[in-house]
Amino acid sequence: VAFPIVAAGLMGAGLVVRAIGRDKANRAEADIEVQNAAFYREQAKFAEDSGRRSQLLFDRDSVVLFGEQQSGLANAGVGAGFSSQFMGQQELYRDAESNAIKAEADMNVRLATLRAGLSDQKVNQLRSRSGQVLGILGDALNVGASFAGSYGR
Amino acid sequence: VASIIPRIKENVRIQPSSPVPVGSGDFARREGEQIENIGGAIMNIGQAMFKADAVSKQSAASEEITTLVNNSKLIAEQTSQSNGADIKQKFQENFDKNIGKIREKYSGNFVANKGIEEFIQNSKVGADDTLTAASLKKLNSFTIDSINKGNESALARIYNNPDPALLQAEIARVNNEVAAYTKIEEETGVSALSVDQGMKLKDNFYKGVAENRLKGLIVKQRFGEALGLLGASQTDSELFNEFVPDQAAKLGFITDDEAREMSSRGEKFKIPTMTKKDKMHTKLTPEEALVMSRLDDGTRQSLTQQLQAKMRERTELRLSDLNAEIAGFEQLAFSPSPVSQQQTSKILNSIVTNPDLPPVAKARLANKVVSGLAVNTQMQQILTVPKAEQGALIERASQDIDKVTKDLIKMNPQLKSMGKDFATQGYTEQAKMRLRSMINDTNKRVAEDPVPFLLGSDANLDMLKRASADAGQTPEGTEALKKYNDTLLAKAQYLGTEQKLLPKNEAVAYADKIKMLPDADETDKYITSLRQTYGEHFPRFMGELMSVDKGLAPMAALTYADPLNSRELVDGIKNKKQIDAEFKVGGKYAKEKNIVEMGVKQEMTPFRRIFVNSGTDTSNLGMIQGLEKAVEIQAKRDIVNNGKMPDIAVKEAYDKVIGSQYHIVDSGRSRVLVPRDLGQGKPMPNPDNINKFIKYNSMPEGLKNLNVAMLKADEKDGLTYDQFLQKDAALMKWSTNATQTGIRLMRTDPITGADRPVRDKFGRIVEKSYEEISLEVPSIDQKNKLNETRLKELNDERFYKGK
Repeated sequence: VAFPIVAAGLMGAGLVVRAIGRDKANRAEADIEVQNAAFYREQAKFAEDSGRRSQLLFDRDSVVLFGEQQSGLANAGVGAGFSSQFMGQQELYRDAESNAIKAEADMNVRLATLRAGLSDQKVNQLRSRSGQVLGILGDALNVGASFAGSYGR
Repeated sequence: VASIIPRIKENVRIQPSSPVPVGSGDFARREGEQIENIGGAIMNIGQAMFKADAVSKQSAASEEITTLVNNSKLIAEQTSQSNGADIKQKFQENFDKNIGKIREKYSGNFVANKGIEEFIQNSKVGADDTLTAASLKKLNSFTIDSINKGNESALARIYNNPDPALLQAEIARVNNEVAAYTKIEEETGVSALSVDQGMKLKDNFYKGVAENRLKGLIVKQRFGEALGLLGASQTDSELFNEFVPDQAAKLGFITDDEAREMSSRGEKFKIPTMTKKDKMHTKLTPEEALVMSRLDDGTRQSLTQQLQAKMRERTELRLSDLNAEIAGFEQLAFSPSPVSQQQTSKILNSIVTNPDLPPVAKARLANKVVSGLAVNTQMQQILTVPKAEQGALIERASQDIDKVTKDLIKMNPQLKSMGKDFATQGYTEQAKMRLRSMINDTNKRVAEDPVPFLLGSDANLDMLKRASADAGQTPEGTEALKKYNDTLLAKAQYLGTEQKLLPKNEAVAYADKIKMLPDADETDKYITSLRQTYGEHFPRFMGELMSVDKGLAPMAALTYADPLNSRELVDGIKNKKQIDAEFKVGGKYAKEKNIVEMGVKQEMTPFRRIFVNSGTDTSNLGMIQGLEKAVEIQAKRDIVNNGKMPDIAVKEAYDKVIGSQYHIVDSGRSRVLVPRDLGQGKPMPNPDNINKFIKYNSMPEGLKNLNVAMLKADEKDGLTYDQFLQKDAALMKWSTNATQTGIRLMRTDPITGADRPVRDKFGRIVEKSYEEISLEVPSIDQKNKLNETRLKELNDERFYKGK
């Protein structure tokens, strides 16, 4: 059999094996990504719940603290003018903190949801027929390019 | 208060905790990717096999193509027209006819084909040069042949009809023809007919004319005239042409009665004129037949023999004497030192009183002496001004000559005695002609070997040369030599002669010495000393040696390469024969020969294209071929001595000779050579910047900034400046300047394909040094940033290819 035919045969076979290998890899990755997407959604739900709970706990704790602060001020004999100004400020801080907890929770929910979406998208890509065809085409073109590259001056 | 107010960690709360994946995609892919890798490896094996196939096919095909190119060249040379005009077409026909078969034979591997196509192109480029040379050679011999044929038929015409008018017309024709070819050569530099060849043809023609005119006259029995031409005395003429009737009767030309009748009328008998050369022996006119019939056989025969013998004897004797005399007079009249009045008088006397010269010859010679003297005094003056100014001086001198010759005649009364004979020779016209031809002759001689002329015409130069020779090989000597060389080149530039450092004989002596040196060590030592002695003029010095001795062509490498590599290069050149032997059939590296030579061609291609712009430009061919040979020898040397792989040896040899010293900047149409180092204290040229500069300044906008002058023809056609720039930008390109210190803008003539320097609106040649370019590039960058469209154009290579 002529030399170039054997060469072309080997290259064809190589191309097929590569395509099979890649398909297997893609399928395995897609399966994993399906699981990832599900887990990301679980994490989003968890982030929402835990956020709400942290806010609740903080609010409760801060009310206790607020009371302690007020009685502390009174026991120390601080004047009413300063006391009311100080406590007003403490209230503002508490609101800000509570809002921050909520924002953090929202962010975590959004991030997990986003990652779940990305995983979905990846699964679609990995399972897409046209993506596979493009991959094989790219391989074939790479072979051509490497020939041209090794001879082109 | 501080102890009872706990702090709240707001900033900690803000940080989001990152959601994590349950499994890794990379890990999952691993098994599939391993299979994918196996597939890749199989493809690589296929690719390697394919490449191996390509290499073997390319190598086999290249041999067949080389053979085809060589055969096509041979066939083209043999079958092309005798003037060689269609030699390239013939080559192409045969090449095209057979290349298809080779392509078909090696089809099936596109990589191999790509290499083969490239090799075909390179082989054709290589063939193009030799075909151009072959066609010039054919054209040359065709031209000489046709002139010879023209002369032969002209001689035949004169032989058959010795009419002075015809003779003059033919002489004028030959002069014109030779002058036309000389002019072509002077203007184009293409040697259709060398000056020597032309002169030789002219001389041969004159000799032929002289001999044939005599023959013709003899044949026609116009003996008197023939003898007159030869300077015979009146008596001779009478003896053979005219007879008193008694003598004629005695000789049997006429009867006694006829003689008496003639005597009574006071006439003489004349031998009737014959009109065709063979009539004497074959057909006679009725009158001739009448005369000849009255002679008895013996008388007729003896008369014929006598005449012929006498003529032959006189012809030989007088011709050689006359030539010697004329040569003697001419030499005196035109010797480089002005002839004194006393000498002139002496020469004129000896001419006028010469008993053997016929009057016309005397007048002619006297004329030569007079005009020569008049010319001589003018010439000395004319040759010491620049060529461009010579025309005006010649014009003025021509006007003066009339007066000078008249004065001379007044001073030499013997000339008057010649009367009409002298005047009809047109001495003033002759003097003017002579002046022009002598100036031309001298300029031609100077063009061939300018240095001796310059030394002879400038005492200062001669002094400088002597001073440098006296100082010898000392630092002072080197400095003195530099001063001499600089002055010499400046003087040559001023006079418009070719700039050279050495008289031809000195260049030959140096070349011989280099070739005679016993080994590489001696040669390298000698060349190194010359390099030091000649300093910046060393490349020009070597160039002159190579131009007188083609065998030194590979030495061109020494003028480009780093001096550190000189020893190796010289070793290769000196041992060329032994190295080449290894690559011949049967040699150890016979198989590598083709690979090395092909490799060198390919490696040299970008460099070569800088200097050889078109198929008709052969001016740098010798230098390029010398460099190619040098690279080839180096590569072969490395293979033989160090066992290097051919492709690596070729690349390293190229680097040694050129690559280590020069960048090659290729900007589409423009290709320039850039030294890697411009010398101490100067910035290192940056090829990217030079590329950028060339690209910007090849566009209409860049050309406008450079104030490129508009062509007269385009102005006449009513083009605006912008339209002109749009049109001509495609014809503009940049080339390396002669000193390799910068680049020069050139315009390719769309009709002739020749490149000419472009001038700006102020008449200056547009040129930029690499230093200037390094300063200008930042502003170009700035301009480019302002306009993104232009940036896109800059990146679009097609824009610069002019197509």
